[in-house]
Amino acid sequence: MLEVHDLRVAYNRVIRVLEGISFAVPKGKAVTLLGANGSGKSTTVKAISGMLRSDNGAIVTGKVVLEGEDVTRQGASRMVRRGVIHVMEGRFVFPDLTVKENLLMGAYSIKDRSSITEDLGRWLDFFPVLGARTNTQAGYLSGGEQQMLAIARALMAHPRLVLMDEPSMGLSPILVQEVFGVISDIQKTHQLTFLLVEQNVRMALKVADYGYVIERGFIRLEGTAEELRQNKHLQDFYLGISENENHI
Amino acid sequence: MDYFLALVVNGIIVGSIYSVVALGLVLIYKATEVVNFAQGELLMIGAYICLEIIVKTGMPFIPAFLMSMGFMAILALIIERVVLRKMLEAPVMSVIMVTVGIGVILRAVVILVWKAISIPFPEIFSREGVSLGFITIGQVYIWSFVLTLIFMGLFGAFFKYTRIGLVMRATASSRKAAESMGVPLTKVFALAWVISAVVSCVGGVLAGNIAGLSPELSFYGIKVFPAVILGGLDSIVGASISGVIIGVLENLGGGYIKDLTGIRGLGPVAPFFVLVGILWIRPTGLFGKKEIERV
Repeated sequence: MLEVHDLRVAYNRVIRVLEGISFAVPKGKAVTLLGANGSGKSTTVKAISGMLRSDNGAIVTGKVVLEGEDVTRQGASRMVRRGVIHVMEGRFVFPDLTVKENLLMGAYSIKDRSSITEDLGRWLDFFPVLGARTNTQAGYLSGGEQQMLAIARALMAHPRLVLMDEPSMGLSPILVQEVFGVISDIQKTHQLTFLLVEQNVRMALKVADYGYVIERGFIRLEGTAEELRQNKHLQDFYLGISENENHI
Repeated sequence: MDYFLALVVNGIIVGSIYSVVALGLVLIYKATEVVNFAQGELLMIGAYICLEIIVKTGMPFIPAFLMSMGFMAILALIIERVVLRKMLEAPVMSVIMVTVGIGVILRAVVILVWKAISIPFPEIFSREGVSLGFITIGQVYIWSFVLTLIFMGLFGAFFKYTRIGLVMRATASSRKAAESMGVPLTKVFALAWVISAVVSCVGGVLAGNIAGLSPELSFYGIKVFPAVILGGLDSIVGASISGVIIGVLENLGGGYIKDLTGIRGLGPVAPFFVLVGILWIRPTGLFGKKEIERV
């Protein structure tokens, strides 16, 4: 579904963040990019979704291929029309709009306007916490509720590929479990393709089929979720997990 | 008491025009984070264009008014496309300075074409007074007020009930989130400038109807600043309410300061004093949002 070839990205034309990474996300699968702060995970998804420009970043070399078509350097609005939705780190709901209005904004790129009401009902049912607060301003929701809203809003766009950047950020362990439970449910029941960027290795590897570990702009390690879970090098050195201490 | 009420009513009517112009200023700020220092000049140009259409073509007021709004929409699109879009990545302060430049150019054009003299607006609404019991008000004032309310209602409905209105509110709420939903930000910015120029035109034509046209009309751009700051630079509702507050303060200040001290012309300054006081207590204005920063 998605292939990234030798991607190099720089901010403000000089600060190199990605040094040539390549990976693939097969259709209907969940792939995770793991790594510490500043490793280049978020930059990678921004480069795919066309959201680099607003951060003064640019793809220097490399290729992003979506279903066989070169989509390198396409803007965010084109990528959304192609079914690629980016759920950004920090949730980024519309704080001044109500829950319902946030969801309607998710359907911005949908041409068949008649399906929107049906979608709205479906996702409000699926996320009861949102269904109960449709007219509440999103800025007043808790962190967990905002994350649910960001996910539901992405689903309103009928995505083919969801790029999810650190859904666990700033959430309590219980909420993290809840959010990842929802992601796993949606991914499996709707056969959606997910690229999940996470620092929470344990949770990410529960949801993902395959994973890549990025460090300082390079991919250092890759493997199936099971292989990564068992990888001693990953546990001890890169991500600080040991057999006795499962980091959440 | 009647004098006080007369000043208040007059202030509300003049303030409603400030509200319309303030709405335009806030709209651009919310969408683009740019404070448009050419707002007063857009207002002035709109009024002159309406006058020109009426005088040169003999067209009735309503179609001339609508045409001048259309002209202002096109002018705003040109300004946005030719000047401002090239500055999308530029620091906000640079863009603000460019709006100052645009204002200077528009003022120069008006002085070049229509000279720096006062021109009376053709009498659209009668100046004959209507008695409200405690006060007699010229019909032109009443019509201005009614038209202002109608336009504010229309803009309110546009933002509340239309899809484009929702997209504009969403972009104002979080640009990044809007971009991630596929909203083409440049189109939203252009639309914000168009709407802002159109509301300025409404304000300009109404103000011109009351006081005639001269390059001094552009001072409305400065006069609405207390309203915008008072209401909170990011609050459309706040700017609308504060426009009326400023209008009333200006009238009360003008009336009472003149009577008490014998000094004329202090009315327009009064709102600035109140503004300083309010900002002292509430730095984000009466309705402005406090920035929440993650640390």
